Amino acid sequence: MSRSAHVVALVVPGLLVAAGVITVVIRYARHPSHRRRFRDAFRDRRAVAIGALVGVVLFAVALADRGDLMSAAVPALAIGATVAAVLGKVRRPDGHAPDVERQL
Amino acid sequence: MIGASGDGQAVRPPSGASSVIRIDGPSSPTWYRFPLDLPVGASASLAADGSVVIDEFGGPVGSFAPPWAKDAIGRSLPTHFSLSGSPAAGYVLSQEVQISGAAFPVLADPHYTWGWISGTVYFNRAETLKGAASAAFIAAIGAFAPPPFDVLLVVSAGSYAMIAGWVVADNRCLEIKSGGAAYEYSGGYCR
Repeated sequence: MSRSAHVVALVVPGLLVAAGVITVVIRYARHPSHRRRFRDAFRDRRAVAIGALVGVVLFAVALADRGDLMSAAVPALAIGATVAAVLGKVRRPDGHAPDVERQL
Repeated sequence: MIGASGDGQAVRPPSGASSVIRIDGPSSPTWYRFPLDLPVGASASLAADGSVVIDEFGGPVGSFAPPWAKDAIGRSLPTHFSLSGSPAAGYVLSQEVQISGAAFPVLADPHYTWGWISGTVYFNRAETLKGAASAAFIAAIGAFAPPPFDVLLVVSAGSYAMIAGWVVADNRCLEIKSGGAAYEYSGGYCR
């Protein structure tokens, strides 16, 4: 592969990812509702526990496979958090966890 | 036909992974046989492109990429797979390497490339490059997803994009384990 192709392979994905990161940071900084919705997604304790369990299992398997801490941690964290968020949304689409509602 | 010029021994039989053949001299065997340890109900077939496809439950679950062989100075040598056997009796995968005029040692690698049997997805260089661009695009678009999926998409797709980008720049290829962890590899399917 040519040198210019190498540059393109690094720069284009880098710019797109940077655009995504900056967009998220700006949206969360400017809109308090985004921050609230983010917190609400992880308020269901049971969903978070299941997500954490999935993440820990994936992390342990990946760590045992290659021993590379960072390569094991990032997907385990992302998949575990996604599982927790999806389960939280399924259990409480309005964002209120059962224990919060009980207190109300 | 198998063993016409003598059966060789591989370093390790393929059981859902890579198996490197090392041919040390012109008097070495040119046919190398590997009994395939497939699940009950699975079948194997030779595809037109020279690869071997493993089918189960009515669809492909894995494959051996078209074989390659290189001599000591990096020249590609003619090589191909042949397949014998049946679902009931079991299959034997054979690889012939034509070693006339080769510089020794010669290396060949019948590489299992895809499917949940091995739990690893291997990408070649072009696929790795496309994967980097696709993951970066998903990271950019994912920033507009509703919270918290915007953060999750940007972090996960962004990390894959950056890893794939570094792998391409390093002239290597991307492999993703079934648990989601991404690594780089070279040789075999990485062409």
